[in-house]
Amino acid sequence: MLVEVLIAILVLAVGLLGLIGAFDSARKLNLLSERRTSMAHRAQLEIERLQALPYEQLAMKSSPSHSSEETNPDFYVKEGGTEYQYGAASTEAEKVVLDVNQGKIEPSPSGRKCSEAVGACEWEDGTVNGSVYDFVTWHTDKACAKPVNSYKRLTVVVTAKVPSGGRQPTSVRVSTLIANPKETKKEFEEC
Amino acid sequence: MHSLPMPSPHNQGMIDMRHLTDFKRRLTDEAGFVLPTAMIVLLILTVLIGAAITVASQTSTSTTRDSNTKAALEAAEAGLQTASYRLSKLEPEKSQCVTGTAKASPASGIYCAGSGSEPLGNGASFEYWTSIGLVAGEKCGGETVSTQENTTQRCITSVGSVNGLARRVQERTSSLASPLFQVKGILGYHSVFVENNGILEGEVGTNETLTLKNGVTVERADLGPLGKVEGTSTPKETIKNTAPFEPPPVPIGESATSASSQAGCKPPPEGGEVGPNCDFLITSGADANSGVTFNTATRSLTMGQGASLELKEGVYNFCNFQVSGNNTKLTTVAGGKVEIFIDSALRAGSGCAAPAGKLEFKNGLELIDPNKNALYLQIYVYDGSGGTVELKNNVSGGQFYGTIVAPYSKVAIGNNAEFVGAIEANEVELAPNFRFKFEKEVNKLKTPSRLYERKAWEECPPAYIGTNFQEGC
Repeated sequence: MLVEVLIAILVLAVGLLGLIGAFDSARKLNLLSERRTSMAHRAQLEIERLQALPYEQLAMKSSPSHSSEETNPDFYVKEGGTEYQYGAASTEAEKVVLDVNQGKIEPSPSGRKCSEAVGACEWEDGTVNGSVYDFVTWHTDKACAKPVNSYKRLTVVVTAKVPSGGRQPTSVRVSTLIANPKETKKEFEEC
Repeated sequence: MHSLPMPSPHNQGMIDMRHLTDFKRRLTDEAGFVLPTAMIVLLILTVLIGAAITVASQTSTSTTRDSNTKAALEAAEAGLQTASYRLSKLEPEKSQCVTGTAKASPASGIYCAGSGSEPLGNGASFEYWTSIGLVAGEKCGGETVSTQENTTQRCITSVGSVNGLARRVQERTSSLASPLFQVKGILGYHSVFVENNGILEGEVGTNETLTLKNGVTVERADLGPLGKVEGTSTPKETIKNTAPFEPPPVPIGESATSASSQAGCKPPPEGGEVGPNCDFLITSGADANSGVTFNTATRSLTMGQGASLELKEGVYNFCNFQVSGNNTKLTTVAGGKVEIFIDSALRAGSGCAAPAGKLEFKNGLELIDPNKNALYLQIYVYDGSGGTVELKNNVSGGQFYGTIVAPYSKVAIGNNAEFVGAIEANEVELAPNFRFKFEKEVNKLKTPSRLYERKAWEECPPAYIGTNFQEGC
């Protein structure tokens, strides 16, 4: 009888440990999903906010800086801050749109709340928070014979801050193109 | 040999009692019960673990899907923007649309072939389809199209894809119609030169130099970013624009083709491209003895000494139009609008041979407009190949009601007659004592812009069958 009880306890203990482990993994996965959902939501909000800006204001206020950390979206800013790699391949890089006078897009999120500023900022959504990075680059249309600045590409990268030991979600990256609604005849002819 | 004793009814009852007692004892005995119970609990736990992992995994998949569909929507939007840009750049005719990077005509229906998948980076791509000019009653962007004058409406459908997930959007886009006269008065893209004592009631605009000699009155100077005012007179007001003035397209359309009959001869529209010309009305109406000569082969119209001509309502296209004799009279018909195009030998399909493109009204021409409205005489000069456009020495005290659009020519006007209407040219030179009055009616004239503007938008279900990308929109 005693042996039987001991074996049962052992079996239950193993089962419970497995259950605890599984629930913990599920909790972590759910937490990661929650973070990624918030990040995707934030990315969409940000790109819609940028799309609402006048075309001429869609420009970086100052050059973004390159970061040596691979997890930092600024890692994809080329040395010198004049180019940004929007895609996975190193050839997928474009010139940064820089306009110190009319540009509205701040390059660094530090100390800037998204609710208060346009451009790179720090965001918070319930228990999740992180940073938003915006990049505006010149895109050359396929119909252009020469490499000219046809229209602009907006790339929004959202990252989340995770307490130490937590699993870092991969950044969410959304990109679109915006054509100039007032493109001049000369600009079309240059293309 | 012993035989087994046959159970008597008494013995049989004792056996049954023993089995019952044994069963009761086994029921109350707990030995061997714990382990099966533990196994059952373990089984339940395993099911719970499985459920928890499945839910978490599904949540994760759904999150990834959510991210991808959001990115796919932006990719589809990028397709709409790209298509709009190419429509503006390539300027297809109303009967054409754009494919990837070229103008084309649809093989059937109203849509051209798709652009093909174009990568956007990070696994995103888009493909779009554009339509020819829509007509009233067709549907796009969730709305039924209604006719709008001087504009071309088109439908663009775009599919954005990210990691196998797609979003499909559709927009109705319309070319913008802007006022033909960017300045409410006189505009010289290169320069405007006003001689002494000119009185200009309206704006005068230029991208470069506005010269005002002694005693000139100008209500307002409207300058491009590099524009400047020179001379000894000063405008009452000066404004500077951030963008230079750009010449409008000359809406010459099909005007080089003869309408041949009255039925094909349509009244000119208020802006936009025009149909066939009514030049044959001159041939049949002109009296050779009156000094009017119209050469149908060269489409050259000349008015000599004492010539008199009445232009009926319609569009006219001449390779040259010269009035050089004294005491000439050019009359536009009462209640009828007249639109004159001076074509060029340099334009493909013009039918003009060099020398062409000449417009001269000289030596005492009396322009008679019974309508007293600048909208009723519109003159367009296609390019500068015919040299300076001259409207000089008209009858003293007379009035010229009309508009002149010659964006690549020099226009020299004077003397005597008062000009009521609007002028756009490359260079404008106004003789001493020139009097001008801007006619507000000309604001009705529009020019179709190459730029397109979104008018309606809808999202369609992402899936469609085969190549029917319109399905479900």
